Amino acid sequence: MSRSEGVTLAGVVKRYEGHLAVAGVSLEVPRGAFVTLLGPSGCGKSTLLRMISGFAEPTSGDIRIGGASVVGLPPYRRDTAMVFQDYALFPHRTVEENLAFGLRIRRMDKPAIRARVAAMLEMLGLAGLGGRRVSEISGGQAQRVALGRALVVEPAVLLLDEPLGALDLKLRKQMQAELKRLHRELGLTFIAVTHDQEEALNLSDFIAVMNAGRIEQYGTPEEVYARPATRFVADFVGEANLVPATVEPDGLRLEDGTRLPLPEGGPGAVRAAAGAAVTLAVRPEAVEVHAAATGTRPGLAARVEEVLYSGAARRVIGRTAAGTRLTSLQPGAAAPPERGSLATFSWAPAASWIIPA
Amino acid sequence: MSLRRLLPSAGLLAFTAYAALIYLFLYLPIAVIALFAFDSRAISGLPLAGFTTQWFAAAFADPALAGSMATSARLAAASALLATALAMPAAMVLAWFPLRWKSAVLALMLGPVVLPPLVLGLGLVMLARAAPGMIGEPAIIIAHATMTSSYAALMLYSRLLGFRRSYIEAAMDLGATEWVVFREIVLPLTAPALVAVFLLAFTDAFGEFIVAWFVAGFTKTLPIVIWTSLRQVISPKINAVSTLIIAATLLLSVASQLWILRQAGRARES
Repeated sequence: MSRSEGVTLAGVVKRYEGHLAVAGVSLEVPRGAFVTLLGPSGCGKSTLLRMISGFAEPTSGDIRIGGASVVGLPPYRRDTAMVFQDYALFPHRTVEENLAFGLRIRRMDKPAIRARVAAMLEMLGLAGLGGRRVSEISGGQAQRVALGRALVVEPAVLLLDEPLGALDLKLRKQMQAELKRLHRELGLTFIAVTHDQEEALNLSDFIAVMNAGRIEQYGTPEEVYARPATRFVADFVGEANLVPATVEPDGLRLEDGTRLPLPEGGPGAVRAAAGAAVTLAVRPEAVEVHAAATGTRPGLAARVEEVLYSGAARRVIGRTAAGTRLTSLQPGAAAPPERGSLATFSWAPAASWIIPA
Repeated sequence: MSLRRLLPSAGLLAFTAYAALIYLFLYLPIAVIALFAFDSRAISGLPLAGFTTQWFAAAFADPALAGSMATSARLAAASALLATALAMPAAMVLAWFPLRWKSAVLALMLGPVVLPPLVLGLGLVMLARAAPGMIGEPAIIIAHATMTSSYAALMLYSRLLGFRRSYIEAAMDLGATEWVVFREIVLPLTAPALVAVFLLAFTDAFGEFIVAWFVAGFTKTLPIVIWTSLRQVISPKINAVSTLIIAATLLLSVASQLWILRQAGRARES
C-alpha cells in the first residue's frame, strides 16, 4: 500500500435507520498531520472515526487511506490502529501481553516482539510495569498502555477516540504534551475525536469542526479560532459576540444604526450584496467597555448586567436595547463600569469578522 | 445495626426457630437419605441400629448401579458439552447482533425451561418413532441438551450483555480476525460463565429422570435404575449412592461458585 497520501474522505454519508449521522463529509488529512474532529456529542465525529477504522461502513461515499479505498475492508485489514475511549485493555492479560497483542497476531517472531514491546514501554515511561496486570495500573498508565498497544503495530494512521476524556485535568495537560511529542517523533498521521476545544486547539495541525453530521469548518487552530466561518464554530470554539448587522454599500449598519467599516476577508467572509443580513462576530477579549459617551471608537450602547472579576481578567456582560448580549473580557486594571449603568462596547474593526446570519 | 438489637429476645428466638424450620424443610429429606446410608440394617428405620460404611462399598460392587452411574456421567457430560456449544453462538447473536424480534426470540427460548418435562418426553417419543435408531443414548443426550441449552443460552446471553464490545473491537483493530478474537478474547473472558453453565447443565442432565425415561430404550441411567429399584425394596446401596451424589453436587456447586466469584472479582478490578 502506498503511504504517499494520508486519509481522504469523499462525500461520506452514514444513515442509521433513517437517522443521518454523517451527512456528507469530505476531508483531506495530509500524511503525518494531527487532525482533530471537534464537535458536540452526536455531531457524527465518532461515527466518522469508526468508519475510518472499519467498525462502521459508510452508506455512501469513499474512504481512502494511502490512496487506496478501504470501504468494505474489515478492521483487521486496515492499516489503522485505534486508542479507545475506555482504553479496552484486555483484562486477562498483562501490560506486556497487551502491548504484544497486535505483533503476536501478525506472527512476528518472539525476540522481535520482546524488543519492540520493551522499546515501547521505555518510550512511554512504563519500564518495569510490563508484568503488571492491567487492573494494577493507574488511569494515566492505562492510557499510555492503550496508546502503546496501538502504536507498536506501526499503523499508517492512529485514531484516537476522546483519548484524554477519562483523565483528570492535571493528567490531561501532561498527556497532551506527551501526545504532541509522540506525534512529532513518530511522524504518523493522527486523527483524534474530541469535544474539548482546548484539547483540539493545543494538539492539532488542523481542526475539523463538526455539527449535525457536517463539517462546519476545516482549518488550522489559528484560522478556526481567529476567523470562525459560521455562528456554530464561533460559539463552539471559544466565546464570541454575535451582533446582527446589515451590509450597506460603504460598510455595516448594526441593529441600533451604528455604522462600522466592513471588516476584511477571513474564511467566512461574506461577499454579500448591499442590504443582506449578516452577523458580525468579535471575541470578548477584543471588546472594550467605556462609560457612555467617553468612548473614542464607535461601538454599541448596552446596559451593564454583570461584572465578574477573576483576578487575571474582568468580564463585563451587557445587553443592548435590542436584546443582543455582549461580553467583554479585559485585563482587570481599568476601573469597571457600574452594574446597571449604560456603557459603550467597542472594538477595532480589524478584530471583527462577518459570518452568515 | 445488629439483628439482636432490632429484635427483643423472644422475637429473636422465634426468628431463629423460623430459620431453622426453613432449613429443616429444605434439607430433611436429603438428611434422611444420608443418615440411612450409614445404617447397618438392610431395611432402614429410626432409631439407627448401628453405623456402617459397607453400603458404599456394596454400591460400587453392584455392576448395575456402578454401570448406571458411569453411563449417567458420560451422557450428562456429552449433553452438557453439546448444550454449552449450542448456547454460546446463540448467546453471542442475541447479545451482539441487532435483532428485530429479540424479545420474542428470548421468550421462545424459555420454552423448554417452562414446558412440563412430560410434554417434552411425549413429543420426543413421537419424534423417535421417525428415527428408531436414535432411541437410547443418542436420544437421551439430545433430549437433555434440548432442555439445558435454552437456559444455558440465556445465562450466557446475560453474561455477554456485560461484555465490553471495545475489547472485541480493539482486538480486530490490532489485526485479529473474527476467529482469533473469539479464541483470544471472547473465550478466555467468558470461561467462568461457560464453566458454570456446563456444570449446571451437567448436574441437571445427570439427575434428570422423566424425559430420559421416555426415550431411554434399554439404556439404564442412574435415575432410571433408582426408580426401577424403588418398586422393590429401597436398598441402602441407593441411599449410599444418593449421598455421594448429593455431596459431590454440593461440593461442585460451592467450588464453582467460589471460582466464579474470584474470576468476577478479577474482572471487576480492571
